[in-house]
Amino acid sequence: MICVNNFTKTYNDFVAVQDLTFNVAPGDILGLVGPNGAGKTTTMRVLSGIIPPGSGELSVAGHDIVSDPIAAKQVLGYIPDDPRLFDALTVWEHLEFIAAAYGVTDYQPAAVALLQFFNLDDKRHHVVQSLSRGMRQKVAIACAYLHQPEVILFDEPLTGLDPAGIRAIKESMRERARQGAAIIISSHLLSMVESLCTHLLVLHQGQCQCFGRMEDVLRAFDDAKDDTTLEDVFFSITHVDETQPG
Amino acid sequence: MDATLAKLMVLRFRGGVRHRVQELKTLRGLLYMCVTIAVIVLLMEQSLLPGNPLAGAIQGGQEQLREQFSRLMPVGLLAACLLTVLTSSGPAIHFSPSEINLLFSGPFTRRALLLYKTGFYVFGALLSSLLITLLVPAFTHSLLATFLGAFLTLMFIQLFSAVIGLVSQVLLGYCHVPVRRSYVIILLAAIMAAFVWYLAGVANGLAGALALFQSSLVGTLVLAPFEVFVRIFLSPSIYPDLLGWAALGFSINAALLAIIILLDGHSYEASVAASLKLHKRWVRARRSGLIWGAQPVVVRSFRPPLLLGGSGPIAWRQLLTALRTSSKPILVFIGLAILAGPLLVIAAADISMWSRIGFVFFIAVYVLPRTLVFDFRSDLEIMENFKVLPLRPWKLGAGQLVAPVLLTSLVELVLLSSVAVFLDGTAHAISVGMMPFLVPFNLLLYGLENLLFLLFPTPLVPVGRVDFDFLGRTMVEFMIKTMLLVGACALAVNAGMRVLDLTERSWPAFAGVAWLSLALMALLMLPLLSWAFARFDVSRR
Repeated sequence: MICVNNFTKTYNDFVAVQDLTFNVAPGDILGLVGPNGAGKTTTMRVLSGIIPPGSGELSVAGHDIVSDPIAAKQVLGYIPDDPRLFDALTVWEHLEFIAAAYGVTDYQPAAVALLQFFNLDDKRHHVVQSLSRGMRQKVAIACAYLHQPEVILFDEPLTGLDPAGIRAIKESMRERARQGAAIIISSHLLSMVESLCTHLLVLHQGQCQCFGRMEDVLRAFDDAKDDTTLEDVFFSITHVDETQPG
Repeated sequence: MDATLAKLMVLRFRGGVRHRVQELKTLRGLLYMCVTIAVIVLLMEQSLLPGNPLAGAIQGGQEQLREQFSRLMPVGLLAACLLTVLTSSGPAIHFSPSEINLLFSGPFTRRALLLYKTGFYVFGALLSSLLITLLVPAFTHSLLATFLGAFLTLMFIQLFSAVIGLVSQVLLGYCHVPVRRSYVIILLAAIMAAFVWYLAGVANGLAGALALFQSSLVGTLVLAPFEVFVRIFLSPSIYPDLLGWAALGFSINAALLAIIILLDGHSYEASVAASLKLHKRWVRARRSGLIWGAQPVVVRSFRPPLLLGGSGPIAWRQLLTALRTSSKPILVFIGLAILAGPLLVIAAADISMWSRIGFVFFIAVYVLPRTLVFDFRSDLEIMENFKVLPLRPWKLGAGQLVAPVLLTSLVELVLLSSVAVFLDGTAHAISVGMMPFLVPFNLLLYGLENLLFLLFPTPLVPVGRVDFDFLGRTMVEFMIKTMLLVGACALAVNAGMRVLDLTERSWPAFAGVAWLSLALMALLMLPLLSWAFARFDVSRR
């Protein structure tokens, strides 16, 4: 569903991502982790068509994101780390806009269901600028879900959400994956990634340090102790000693 | 002033200078500063040319100009103060959120904080006064008089408005009576109607009424403080006139500051709320370019838009934004456009045709596009949203241009209609003849605006005072736009003229070909916008 081959992205002399290769199949949830500046957001932005790739082949649901970007975007949902919505529009108008932009007919039942699922039904006619950050995050996710994307990219999806919102969004991710969507989650919340994701990719200084099924990765680092967590794996791979300050 | 706050002022000033110096180290910053200085020098030169109304009056008779200045400025100052009071969003002196968080909780008295903030106003007024002294022709007796007059007058307007705001806040606090906006509008409309009725009965209309007011006891008393500042400008000698009047002006400002400090305790919370509101407005302005934007909370959601190949939702969203955030400024523009005809009738004898055309061109090419910002320029912070949409860039660009082109054309159509109704002869013919060209011209104009923005993206409001980068860029952009627009119009007229020769002076054929040429050039902006949007890299922002 998502295919990335030998992807490299540079900014002037700085190499943000180097020779990255991975695949995400339908129903899989890939956790993309790495320290700050590892290249996670760059990868997500390139996959979503926001910025052009430097080199390599990247495709979404069989559509190359460079040669066939419109078809690729038609099946893609992207939730950025900072939900930037259209200030003057209401919550409901956002859903109407997305439905029109993606050509979704008979969207009202799905839109109403999404508002109910995210506890936004009473905010339907609120201008989004008046909403809290968490609520705006929910609106952004509802918009991304409305056109039933085959590929969903989450960049730090749980920032600013309340516990009920976190639970609802985690459940919605699992449900979308069960329905066949390929999902990538970029996050620093390692416990969430460990509990939610089926696959793991660790980026460090723009390079892939480790990619595979979650249990395989954990097992590979299991020799030191029995109850190895993703946190242990992460610090082992990135060579950062968590006991030392800084 | 508190020593720590004085130190903070120095540090912030140093930071501002450092920021400007950093800008000047880049080639772009240096070029923009050179352009800014060149334009100021040109304006200084131009202000002394005989063609300039003020300079002409100087050569015609300085005494005459001083007499007019002396007669009109007190009323003008009163109007400026009232306008500042009516348009200000808070009761007194505004603090930024960082100042509220760091200084309000610090070991500082309220008085010290007010003095600290007044220090910034003084600095701003000094810079503005310097510019005024350089640009205004020397109809005063000395440059020092112009500088001191401008500085003390600017401070007076600021402080006087703050005092009026504080007094009304205190009075409202005692009354506890919520006033409905509709009542205020009805009251203002009634006052305006009574004023118009009064003017109709006075000989010489507005000028006659003004003379009556100034000669009355009430007028004399109300205008007395404003007279002081006129005297500063017109002082014939440094000592005793200028120093004496300036000392009096300074005392008035000091008294106003004392009143602010006295009354401020009554409106502490309101002041904080107003400061935060103002800050949000500036953040929004920097983000979207909409300085006057309102912030509704709950509104009626509108029906889904027409698709129009994907451009429909984009245009619909921008039109909704315009309706919700800027309906008032748009109505003000339409109101002013309606008044254009009657005003030109009054002033027709004094203003040349070229001055009128130049003024309208400036409004159309600079003022309106800087106010009606409902396109890519208002979406700098949310360009990611458009990048992920499954839309061809040219359709996206077309959708983005709909709202500003329609709104600007509407304002201009009202203006031309007003001129056509009230004037006859050449002005009438030109106004009617220009109407069909509004939409293609504005499509070209906003296409250029957005093209320049996508190629060189930057916020539409300056960062603090003396922002050479912003000033220089604005001037360069205006010059480029003017050259391209004039060139495009010349090409269109040239094409029309050729057809005029071929068709034995058929004016409909001339207009049709000129319109088609302009429309074609405007449509050429779409592929250019498409290219610029495709190469816009959000990660390099």
